[in-house]
Amino acid sequence: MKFSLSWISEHIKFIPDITAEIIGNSLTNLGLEVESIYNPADKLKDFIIAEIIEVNSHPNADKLSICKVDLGKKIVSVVCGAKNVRKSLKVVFAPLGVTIPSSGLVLKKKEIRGYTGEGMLCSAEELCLEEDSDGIIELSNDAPKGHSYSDWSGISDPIFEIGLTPNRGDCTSVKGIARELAVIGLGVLKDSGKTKINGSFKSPINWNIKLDQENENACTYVTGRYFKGLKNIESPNWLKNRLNSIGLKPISALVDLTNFLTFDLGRPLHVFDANKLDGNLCIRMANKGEKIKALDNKYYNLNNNILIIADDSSPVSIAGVMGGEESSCDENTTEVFLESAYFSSRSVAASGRSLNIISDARYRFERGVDPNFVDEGINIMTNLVLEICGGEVSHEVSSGDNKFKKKQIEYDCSKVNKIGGVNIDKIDQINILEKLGFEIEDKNQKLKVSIPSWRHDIAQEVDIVEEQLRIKGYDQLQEKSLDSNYSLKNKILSFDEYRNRITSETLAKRGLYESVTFSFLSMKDFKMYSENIKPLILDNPISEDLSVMRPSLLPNLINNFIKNNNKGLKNYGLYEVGAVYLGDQDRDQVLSSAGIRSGGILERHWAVKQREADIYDAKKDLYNVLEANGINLNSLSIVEDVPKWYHPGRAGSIKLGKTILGYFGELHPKYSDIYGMRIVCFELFQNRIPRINKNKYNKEHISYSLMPLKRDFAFLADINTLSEDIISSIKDSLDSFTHVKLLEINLFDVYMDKVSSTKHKSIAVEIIIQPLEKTLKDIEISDISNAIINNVKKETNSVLRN
Amino acid sequence: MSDTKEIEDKILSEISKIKSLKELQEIKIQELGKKGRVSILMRSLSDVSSEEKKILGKSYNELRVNILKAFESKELEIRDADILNRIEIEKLDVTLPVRPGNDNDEGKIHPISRTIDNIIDIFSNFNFTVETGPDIENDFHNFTALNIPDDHPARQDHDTFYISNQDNQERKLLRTHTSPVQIRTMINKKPPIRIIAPGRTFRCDDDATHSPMFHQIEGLVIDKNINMGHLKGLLRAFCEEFFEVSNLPIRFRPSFFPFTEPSAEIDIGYNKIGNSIKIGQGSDWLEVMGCGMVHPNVFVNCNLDPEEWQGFAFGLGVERFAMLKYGISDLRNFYEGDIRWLNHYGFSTTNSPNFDFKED
Repeated sequence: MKFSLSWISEHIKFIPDITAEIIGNSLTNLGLEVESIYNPADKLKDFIIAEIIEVNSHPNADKLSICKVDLGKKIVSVVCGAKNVRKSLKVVFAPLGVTIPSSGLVLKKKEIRGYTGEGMLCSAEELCLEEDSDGIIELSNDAPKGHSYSDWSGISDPIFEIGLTPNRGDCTSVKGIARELAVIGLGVLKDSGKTKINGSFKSPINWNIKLDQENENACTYVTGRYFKGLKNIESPNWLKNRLNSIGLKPISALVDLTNFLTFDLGRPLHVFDANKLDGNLCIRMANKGEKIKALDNKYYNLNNNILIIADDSSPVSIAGVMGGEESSCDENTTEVFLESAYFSSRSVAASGRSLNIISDARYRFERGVDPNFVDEGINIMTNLVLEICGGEVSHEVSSGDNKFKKKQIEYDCSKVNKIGGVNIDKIDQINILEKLGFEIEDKNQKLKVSIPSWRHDIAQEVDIVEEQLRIKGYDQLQEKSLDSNYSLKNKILSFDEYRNRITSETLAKRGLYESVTFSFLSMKDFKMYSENIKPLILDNPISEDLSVMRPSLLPNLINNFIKNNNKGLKNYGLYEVGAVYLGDQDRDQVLSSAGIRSGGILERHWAVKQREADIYDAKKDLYNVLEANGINLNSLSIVEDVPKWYHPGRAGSIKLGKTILGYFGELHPKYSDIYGMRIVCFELFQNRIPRINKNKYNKEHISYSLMPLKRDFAFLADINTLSEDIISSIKDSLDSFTHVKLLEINLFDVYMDKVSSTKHKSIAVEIIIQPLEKTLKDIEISDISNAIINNVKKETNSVLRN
Repeated sequence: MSDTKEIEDKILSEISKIKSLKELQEIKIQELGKKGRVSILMRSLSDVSSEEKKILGKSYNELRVNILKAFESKELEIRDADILNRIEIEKLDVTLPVRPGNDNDEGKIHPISRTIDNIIDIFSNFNFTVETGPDIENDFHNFTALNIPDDHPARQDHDTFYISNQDNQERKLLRTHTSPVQIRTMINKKPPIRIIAPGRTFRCDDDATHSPMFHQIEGLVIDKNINMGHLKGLLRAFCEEFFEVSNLPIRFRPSFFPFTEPSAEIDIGYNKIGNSIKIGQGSDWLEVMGCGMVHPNVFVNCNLDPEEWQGFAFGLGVERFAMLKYGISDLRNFYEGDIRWLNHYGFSTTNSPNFDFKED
């Protein structure tokens, strides 16, 4: 919503010494947020009034002239191309260095066919004062040369732009905003009433509201007047200036007047060219199959949810949204029919939404116009049309009921204190309400309050509380602290949230960088990273690349990674903790974490040998997270059955009992080919990690006073034997020795022989054992060794190497 | 005709013997290239009558297509075999123990996470707890229960993403704000309530200052005697704590949200020095939060009696708070995962928001 200071001054007589800044702050404090205050004259401060004292033709160009102009203090010469340059003319001079408003360019010294001027003479168009202009501005003779043009011309008129909240339909007009300013005492409202014009003949067009019970509220009242013998001339200057000041292009008097009333009074009206109508007008729901070409020159297919105005043969207007092109006024229009109606916000919103039309009329009806202003609105318009376009007007014709019954509610004055925590005197409160236009019946106990017809946003006591606080000012609110009924600080996080943070910190410590990626991705990525689930497709995505909810965190991480890689940023890893979406139910939103690595594990360094990230790095990322989340790593098992995006020989699923907690490994060779790089990664279903048992702080007592025993073993195993199986068979073999505790099994060498036909590998482990009771004798040591060797052979068919 | 058939059989049999992509490429050039048998056949067409040209041209073309197809399927076959071979050769023992020790520098925590934790930490001092809700919501939680009926103009401001309706069930949407968590909490828990709810939110909007996905934190306090003074007091304390500025210039001004009445917007004072923003001084105002007293209709929608309970709700944009506090200028960078940006604006795990030293 935009308006100028001079415009609003038509509605309110401001107190002395008012400034744009005071008005701006007051509006913001009232809840009408001022987004900007801008004075178009500010741009024209440096433009100077000058008098042309000599005009000579340019020796090298027919259409140019070289002028001497008097700036009061000095005389300069300029090159000018306008036809209307002449001696003694008062003009607007732009000195070098100023910015020309129309182009936004700084005026520089420039040679024009061999001559350079010291400035420029300006047209109204160049100063953004008119849309297009012929020649330079001609100022009146009394313009004082040497003075600033903007100071003299009176164009200094601040423009306010307000970001209106959708509840304030009453402030979609300059008048409504003036009303607010008057309530807080910045001035007194002026009477904008016009003499009632009775008309001299009977309108040849009649109204008929034809709505069934279901839609009867869509339009409850409509009125109209017929004009004949008028001329749809160009609008007078005052009207063009008003529209120009808020960026609307003047078209013709009738069109401009309807626009003016829309913004000035919040009263959208429609003018039909009566000669283009067939018979009477009817307000009804459209029939399926009906069409209309609207004023935006587009065709719209109507349906029976759309309220229209139709003549005897076809729809002529989408009620409250946009008129029809075929019955619109043009420069030849001499007879018009003027419409003013009360359309419901629900009906206009529905039509606007279904046809996807945004218009100034829709904006106002949707937010609610004043139902008691339909007749007054048409009377004001009638006055203006007769004044500007001449002609004769008919009596009014109307249909429906113009007696709008105001809503009444009970209001308890103590509510302001209960909800706002502020005391406002009852008398004060009544005063505020009356200034806002409320009528109050019973002033004893609870107030009986009639809501002004223009305030559709007020329905309950709390709404009135807000009015009181708003007018008093929110700066009156007394800050209080929340009292604490708690003796101990609450534990703030849910377990899910806690677990996410443990995971995140662990991964950052592992050298990965946290990334936050979009929750959606492309169908191609969905297909690559999902198995046996349906895609959740957005109906209205930003782009195809962001059209499906992500089934995995990997694709977006990888895409970010590749973007980095293309910039030459390599040798690092990313992770994300967030939801994946396996369906549209609450339970299908699964908290996950994932990390990816590619390239070198470190940047080049003199002291450290660089190596490529491999699946054991991804495995460690995953294992560290599980360990940090309280999982005993010994209770995990790895199976080689993995989702299709993993390399079948270089990936594993991590299971806890029967539950798959996550996966790690290298991406499938096909994927590596697509990305042009090998990527190792892990995925973890965060919410499958069991809760940490908080009570298990006590640990078993072990004495570490005796020397530990260390032994190395090397086993020869089939190439497909899993090292984990050898390690667990060692663990199993020690179960029966209760006088020792296994401290560590360190697998320190793996050698694969892929060449020989036998395909063996050699696995070397160091075993560290803690005696618990006494130092072990040789025989006990060899018992343990034999038990290990035998069990490994039994369970994995691997033999001790010599 | 038999000529064509003969040539086709010969070439197809050659293709069937190919073992590598390199070999395939060579034979493809040899057969289909300028000097290849097929091209020679094609060229010979210029010497025959137009009648014959029609018949021969058709059969030559079929030959060409068949051979191309054969090359294609052979190529696929070789590639598939290659992949299988690679999988076999590259097989690793995935059960090998992971490397010991740390051979890496630390990574960083994303500023969004850090900002959320920073805010959670501040509210923990006021005995709030964290609640969360799903990103995929229904119309009731996201709109209707929040007093935003179907035809409300406020709905248009929300630019909602909808999920395609698959099985004729209720059409779901991506939540446009974290406010649905208010509803879920009020329905599931008995007051008094004191929660904050961080999370992802989505709007169908994409330009320099809007991202289709962003983060919000919602707050809700419900008790018997909570009024707007408490709201103002709490949010001032919060803003001062977050921006680490005491006596922060703060402005409450009336605004509109369908689910609160009265509603307010909170502005804080700032100064722009060059390209950076200095919070806490100067005469310009920066909008940072929306808030208000929970609307009676919302209580009713959650089966709570508005005569018995009252309270307030507030909401803020995490990215905006992060940008203001840490001097981040471009919203888009948050989601791009540029390693230099993550390193520059990210946080080490060790300076946790929970422990901070006192200014002297």
